Amino acid sequence: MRTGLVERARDGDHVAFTELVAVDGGRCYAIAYRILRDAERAQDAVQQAYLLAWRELPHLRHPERYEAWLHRLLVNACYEESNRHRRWSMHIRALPDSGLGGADPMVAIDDRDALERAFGRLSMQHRAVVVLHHHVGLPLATISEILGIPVGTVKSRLHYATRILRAALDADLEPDQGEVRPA
Amino acid sequence: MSAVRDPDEIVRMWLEEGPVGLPAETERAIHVSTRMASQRRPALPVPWRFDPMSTPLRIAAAAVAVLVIAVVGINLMASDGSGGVGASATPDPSALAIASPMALPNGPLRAGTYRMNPSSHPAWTACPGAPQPDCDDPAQDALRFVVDVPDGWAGVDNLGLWLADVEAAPPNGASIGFSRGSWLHGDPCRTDQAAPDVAVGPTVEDFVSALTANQRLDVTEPVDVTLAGYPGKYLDLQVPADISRCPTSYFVWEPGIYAQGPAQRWHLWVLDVGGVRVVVQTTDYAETSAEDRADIQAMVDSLRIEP
Repeated sequence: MRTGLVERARDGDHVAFTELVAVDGGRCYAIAYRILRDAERAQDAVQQAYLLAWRELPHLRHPERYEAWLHRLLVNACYEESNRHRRWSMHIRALPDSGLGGADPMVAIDDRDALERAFGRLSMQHRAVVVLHHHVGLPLATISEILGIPVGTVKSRLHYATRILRAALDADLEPDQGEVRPA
Repeated sequence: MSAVRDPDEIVRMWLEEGPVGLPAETERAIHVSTRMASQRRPALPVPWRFDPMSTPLRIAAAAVAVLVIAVVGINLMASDGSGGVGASATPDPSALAIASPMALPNGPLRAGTYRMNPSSHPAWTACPGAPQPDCDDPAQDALRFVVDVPDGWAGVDNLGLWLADVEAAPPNGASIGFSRGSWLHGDPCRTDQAAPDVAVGPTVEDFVSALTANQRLDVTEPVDVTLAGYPGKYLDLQVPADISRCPTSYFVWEPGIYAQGPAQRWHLWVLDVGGVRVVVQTTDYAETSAEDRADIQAMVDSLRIEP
């Protein structure tokens, strides 16, 4: 079904392209949000990626590779978005009074904070690999194709990022093990 | 009993958190932007020049163009009240009505007088985020800010303006904006998940004292000032030249405007407007042009606060 839509959109059918956005837009936003950790910037990145996709679709020779192609546009849009200065908009956030809404209760608040801090220190290139592998579930070879880098580089980035995130979790655990220690 | 701690699994679960559906406004924006954009074809399907017009068609098109230019020109002269050659020295009432302050839209502006109403913005508060037991700030929705804006500026969220071309970004951006001043971040280099942790009272003195007491902030000695007829304190706040260690950005107070880049300078007028604390803030950088600085100063000088 998607391939048919891609072919129609490639031929200039805007309705088909709109359907493609409806099919894949949510996943693209989820990826962009997780890489950028910022809803507004993620929305901008997704919009930018789709605008480029629409413009460049006639150059896509193999419609069956649309998804990987779109992911590449999206990740590049995230890179660009991260390089832009931050918007001058008020930083608004309601302080949670009882946990974080929508958060996974399986992830402890301390872990969440530790991961947020550690992830924030990763480069966009490392974040992209982590998100595509751990969140989207893509194999390393596919990530390599999407990002246009050797598989070895994907492995290296994933290894480094994982080490950083694990270290953050371990450090977070050390001061308070959450259990009563024997005297 | 404690749960098994598998770091990779925790990372995966953490990544599951967050939005999954594309916001409707983004979907609409994609729809509109792509509908207006043409696809880049491998080969142009049409000749790059259209067939030449016939002489009668050319004359007709020229006549239509002249007519359009004339109508647009007349309308423009009427709308900005500038009159033009042969205009009467006495402006008519309709022109005066148009010259009164306009509501500030988002985006690039024509030079003119604009009125900002920040009360509808959730950041227009002296308390951080959700209601705090230690912070009582009744809604202050009466104040309006009127500024004479020169060419080259853009409105932002009814809270301020920045340069239309480079916005407030380094190395040469500039902006002017309004806030209430709120609680401070003890360490401005925090993630945007961190809550402000320095409670600040509601007065001008409370806010200024909190800024000057924070050893991590590079601020000038506050001086007494009067702006737009209201008393207060003036001080500068210098953002460090290197904020790369900050996980997200450099936040001083929240809700507030975070640094737009390293080495940004804040110029702050903290005013007491009839018992309501108002912070008039401009930003620039060492490389901001003298002309843009003059624009900002002119806007500050033109400020009227409507209670």
